[in-house]
Amino acid sequence: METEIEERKLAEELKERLGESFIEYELKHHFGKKRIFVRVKKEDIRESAKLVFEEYGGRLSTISCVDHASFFELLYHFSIDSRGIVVSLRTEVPKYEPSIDSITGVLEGAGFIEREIHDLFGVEFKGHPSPRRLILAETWPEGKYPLRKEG
Amino acid sequence: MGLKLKELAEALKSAVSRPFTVRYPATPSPPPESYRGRPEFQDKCMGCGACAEVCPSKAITVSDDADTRTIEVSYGRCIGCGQCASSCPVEGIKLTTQYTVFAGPEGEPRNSVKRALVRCTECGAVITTFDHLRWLTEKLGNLSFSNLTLLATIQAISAGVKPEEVQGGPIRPVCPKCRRKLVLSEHGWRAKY
Amino acid sequence: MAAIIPIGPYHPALKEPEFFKLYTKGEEIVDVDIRIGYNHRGIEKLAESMTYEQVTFLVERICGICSNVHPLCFVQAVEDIAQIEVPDRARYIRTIIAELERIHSHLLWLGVAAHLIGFDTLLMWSWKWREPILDVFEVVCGNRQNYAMMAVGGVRRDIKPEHVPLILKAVREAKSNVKRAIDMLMGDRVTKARLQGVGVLTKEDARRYCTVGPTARGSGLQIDVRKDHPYAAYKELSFEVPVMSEGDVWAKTVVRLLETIQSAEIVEQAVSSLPPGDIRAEFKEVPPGEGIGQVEAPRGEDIHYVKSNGTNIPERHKVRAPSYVNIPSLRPQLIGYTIADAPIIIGSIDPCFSCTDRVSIVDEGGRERVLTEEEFIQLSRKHGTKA
Repeated sequence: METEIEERKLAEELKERLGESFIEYELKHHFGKKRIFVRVKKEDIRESAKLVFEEYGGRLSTISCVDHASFFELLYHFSIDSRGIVVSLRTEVPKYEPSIDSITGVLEGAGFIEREIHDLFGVEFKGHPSPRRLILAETWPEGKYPLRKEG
Repeated sequence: MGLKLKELAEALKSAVSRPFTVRYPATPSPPPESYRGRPEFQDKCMGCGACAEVCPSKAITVSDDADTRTIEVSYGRCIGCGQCASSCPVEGIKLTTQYTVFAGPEGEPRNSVKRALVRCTECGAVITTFDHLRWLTEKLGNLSFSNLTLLATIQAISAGVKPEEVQGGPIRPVCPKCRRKLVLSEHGWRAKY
Repeated sequence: MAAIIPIGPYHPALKEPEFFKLYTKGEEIVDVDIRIGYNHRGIEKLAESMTYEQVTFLVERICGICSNVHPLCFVQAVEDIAQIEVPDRARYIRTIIAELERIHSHLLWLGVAAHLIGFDTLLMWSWKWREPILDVFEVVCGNRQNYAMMAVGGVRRDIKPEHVPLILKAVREAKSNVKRAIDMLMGDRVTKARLQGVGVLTKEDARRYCTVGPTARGSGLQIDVRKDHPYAAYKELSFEVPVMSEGDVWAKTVVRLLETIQSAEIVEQAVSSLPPGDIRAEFKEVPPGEGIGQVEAPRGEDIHYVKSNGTNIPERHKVRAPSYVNIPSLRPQLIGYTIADAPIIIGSIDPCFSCTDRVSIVDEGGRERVLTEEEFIQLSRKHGTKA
């Protein structure tokens, strides 16, 4: 589609730059909104996030987590303001071992949201500089994650 | 220096003109007509319960006893969104411009309406209110004749029977589950074989 | 000197709860610890049990000042999933409501900031200047806050011809009042001294912390969702996005005031070119999928992510309000400045909770003292600049 040219170009660039980490991409274009969803390997999330942040000027808008019963799907939404494109890096962590590298060392902006996802879903972000409770009360019991589907 | 003069002028103006604020509640403060205040049930309400379905804060509750449905809105829970009024098919609930809600010893103020309820004559399950059935017959016109319960309603209306007596008529209102059972047993293959 | 007074986080005298721990050396702040979460209401979990229509009313109540932003962002995310084309008139009405909200939010902020530095006259005036805008909301939308205007596919109420003069009068008055405020501040040496050179956020830090809104634009980042990812009717309207590079409280103040004037001009344009037509598009259902909505709130980018599973109840709804990313950036903004400057620095990012309620100060000897909000603000009002 003629209107998808910009996103496709960027998606192909990312595919090349991400190399081994890249799994697949999906374009979504709707009434002027340009979106790219790139699935990456969870082991390479730090490098992938670093690439989008440093080389493409992506601003981390937020990280969203969805509970899919046996795994958590994490979406790192980067807004590339200069081009009006949102790049969302999609990755998964299994529920029996919900841990992934923290990207807070690459960009401080991830600090709060990683702690929040830990509080609500129980995902561990390895290497986070201050992995304390963010939004749950001190008296909230350990090990109970309210936004999990079984919660 | 020029700026201070402007401010001085403003200060003098404020000193002599009326204050911007009003002494509420001594001075009443009526909102505009379009203000979304608390809702009130109207006579047109047919008791269908659509308002309770859409209410985001679950302020409207429907409770059914043997022959009466009561729909009640709690002003304490109501957020004044107006969804009840916009979802109502018959303008049976409307928003007033009331914004003061004082909870007294009996709790917060409520507004409610009661309508005669029609239950299944086979199993006793709730069908809906008589007024709702009547509205359905008006909406569906001739198509109503294909439904036993609506037929019973039409019968009752033309015979001048009171809503509470609908269940005792020659054509009995039944719920969908029982209707299927009846049709199959009286007219279906069981009767044939 | 080592007495710790336990206050709050919930206390009748406090506005909204959050917690700042300032580590100090004398009067200078050397480190900051920020804790939030006292107001966590489980909105995301609640949204998983309400229909899409009901969720628009739920998210309105996330914040009282940016009450339009969250429903607008949410419905945009749902429209993204269901590929709904919003009618032109509805897009313009959304823009008008959004900009009116920006005007009243910035005026409210101006009052709060003025109060923090002891300039109460400006507080009274700016909150008075807000009133005509709130009156417009009451007549057009039915309420001063929580407008119940945003719906999936459009808006709920129309702007009638008799509303137009009211809207134009309100924004013209707001524009001239803000210009007056700018004159007042520019010509006031004392206020400028309080606000300039204080709470500097460098461009690099603004980027690393992924800040948004006037906080980022005061530090030289040229970002604004209305220009970068246009939504509603912004693509068709012409306006400027003010950006300053100093990064201090003064820069953020000027950015907000200039933005307010731009907002007034956007409303004037939108109202005079309001297209005819429907105010809401019909749609059958929301198919399974995911969608993102982005809106430029008065405080910065608001983003909602919605995942649907084909039913009329969202599967997952992630809300990220702008203050969430701006608050951590307070750490570099506070370090190196004095305790007396802390309230105005915190206020300069316009946190969605009005100002600190409980502040704990830890000096180099490890001694901790807790101040109430009143005491904290009094320090700011009395002690002036660090110079």
